[in-house]
Amino acid sequence: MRPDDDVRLLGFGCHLPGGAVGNDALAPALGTTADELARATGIRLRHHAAEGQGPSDLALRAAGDALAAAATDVADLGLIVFATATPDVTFPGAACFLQDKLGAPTVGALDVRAQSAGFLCALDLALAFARLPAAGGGVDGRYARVLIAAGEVLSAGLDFSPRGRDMTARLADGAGAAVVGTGSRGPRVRALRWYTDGTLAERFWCEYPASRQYPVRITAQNLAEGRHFPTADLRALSPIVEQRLAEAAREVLDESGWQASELDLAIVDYVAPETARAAARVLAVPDARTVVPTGEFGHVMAGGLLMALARAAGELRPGARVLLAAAGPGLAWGAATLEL
Amino acid sequence: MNRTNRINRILGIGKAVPERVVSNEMLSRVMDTSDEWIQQRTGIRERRHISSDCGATDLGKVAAEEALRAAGLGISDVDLIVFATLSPDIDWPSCACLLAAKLGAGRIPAFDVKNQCSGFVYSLACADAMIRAGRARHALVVGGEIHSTGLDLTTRGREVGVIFGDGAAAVVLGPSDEPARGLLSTHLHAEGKFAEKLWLEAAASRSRPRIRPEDLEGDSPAAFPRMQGKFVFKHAVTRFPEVIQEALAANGLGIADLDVLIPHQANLRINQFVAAGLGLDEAKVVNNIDRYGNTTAASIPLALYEAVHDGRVREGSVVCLAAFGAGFTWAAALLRW
Repeated sequence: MRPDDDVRLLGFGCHLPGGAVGNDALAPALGTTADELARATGIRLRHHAAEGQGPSDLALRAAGDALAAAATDVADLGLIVFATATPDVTFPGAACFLQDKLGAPTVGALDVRAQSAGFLCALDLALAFARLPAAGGGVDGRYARVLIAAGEVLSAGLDFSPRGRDMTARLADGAGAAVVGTGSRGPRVRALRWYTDGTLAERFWCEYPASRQYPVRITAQNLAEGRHFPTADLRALSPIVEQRLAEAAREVLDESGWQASELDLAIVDYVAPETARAAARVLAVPDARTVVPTGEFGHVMAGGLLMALARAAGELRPGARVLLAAAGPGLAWGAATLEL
Repeated sequence: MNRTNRINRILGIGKAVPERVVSNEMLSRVMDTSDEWIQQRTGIRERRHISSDCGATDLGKVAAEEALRAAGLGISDVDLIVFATLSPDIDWPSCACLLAAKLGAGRIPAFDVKNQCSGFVYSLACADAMIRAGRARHALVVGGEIHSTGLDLTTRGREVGVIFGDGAAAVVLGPSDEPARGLLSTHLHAEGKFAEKLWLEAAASRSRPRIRPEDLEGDSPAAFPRMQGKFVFKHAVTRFPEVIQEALAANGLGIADLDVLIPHQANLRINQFVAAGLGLDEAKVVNNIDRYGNTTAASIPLALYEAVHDGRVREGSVVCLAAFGAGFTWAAALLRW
């Protein structure tokens, strides 16, 4: 091993499908105006996948870039972890579809569901597998290259009527990918902490299909009532989310021995961009160094952090210090520090 | 918490199934089928179905509490929940979040693994890796499904409808006091090429909209699981022995060293075929599909629970958990109990 060798994010990719969908395109169906949507959501545009495109299709594009950047052959992958709440079909998961589309070997492929903390969860797992000890000492070599995909096609489940005004302009499609493995270049994770608080689950959720509903998990009536569309009580959640984002960020900064003022970049994601920015300000990260993925391309739950990181990675100098923080349904939230 | 070379062990196990027993004879009253037909093809005599609103996390809570009691631990000792399910209580957030709240787990990482019939073994592998990476001391690993609310229990859906049952089981995974006693290795595989051979399409985020009233109707509704049974059978009887041998070989062991095989309970005929092919005495193979049907992510821990309680799995037993199912995905875990 060379002195710089460590488990790192060796390559990234980001894919936004189709053309940008502006507020002017959404406003008429939602019974509002483009200006009002921009004012209410802080979001100007988002991307929507085409009919027939699932998260695995978007992730395929991102994964191609990530593998190329990591100089990794798909045949060398040891595991595929796909974070999504909106899989291509109900089962099997998006990871199985991605594995097939990539032509990957018959290694493990799994979907993890942790909502907007999905990338942090997948990264946590990828690091744990990449460092898994072998029985006889050393590292279990089977997971030397782990592919993370994180993305959503939320647009297929949105309410394009005035009833959906609060959520439809906010939630969006896209995917990111990263190759995790041992190498001498690429960001390494200094600290990673994420959490859930299910007591807040119903404040931001998509209830149906609901297997818990006896005797049938989804009915024509549930559909007519729109219970299969996401809803959120953002007013109630905003102060809670701001606080938890700041707490998690402080925890990983402290663990890394970093000051917020030393950060080159803070990527902070939440469905309400102003709440994400407020959390960054609580930490005293300068606005100019804060990126809010939702503000750039809508809220892609599991994908936002990784997509924004992939878009920014090329601009960062070696040694740059990056903070990632995200919160979303669950409540699930967390943060990580990365050093390039 | 630091990274550890200590292996992990299943410290406690619990289970929960709904009270309502649905026999083959009861199904034959609502669809064109018979006890003989179902038993001959699947080995199933009865399964459990919920009889009022009840989610996988409601069963999972009961199972998790039993597992914690058996481990002599409290919920405050748990700092990770991994929930394997393909039939979550609600669309999102995850069952793991809901269960954490029901158990009063406080703020901990909690996520669902959607990996169908091999979901429990995959979840065990995830929890093991996280504990060994120093990210948790003890993890609750739960497999739970409520299938019955998503089955077509008419003649149209009988091929699949008779197979699945509701249930949950949970284990507590944590560091072993003895270096050679515990989870020895896990082995994960998938082949997405055959995703549509056993699948549930709608809600499908690749379709716009992802679910429509039409998906609940028609000759082969997209909102119910569909399966090409013979194709799945053929692959299952190849992949099961492969992954069992892989797990044994990785630990320098052979079939003769295996004391108990706990296969996923998809079909008794698959498990008999696999045991015969491996030259494994059927007494070493745990089957309870006759009473629970296929409970997907819950089936392996449900069978393990029985084998632990009836003494087939004893201290020192070499136990293999093996799964094959939708994805296709397949996996094995080797343990020294």
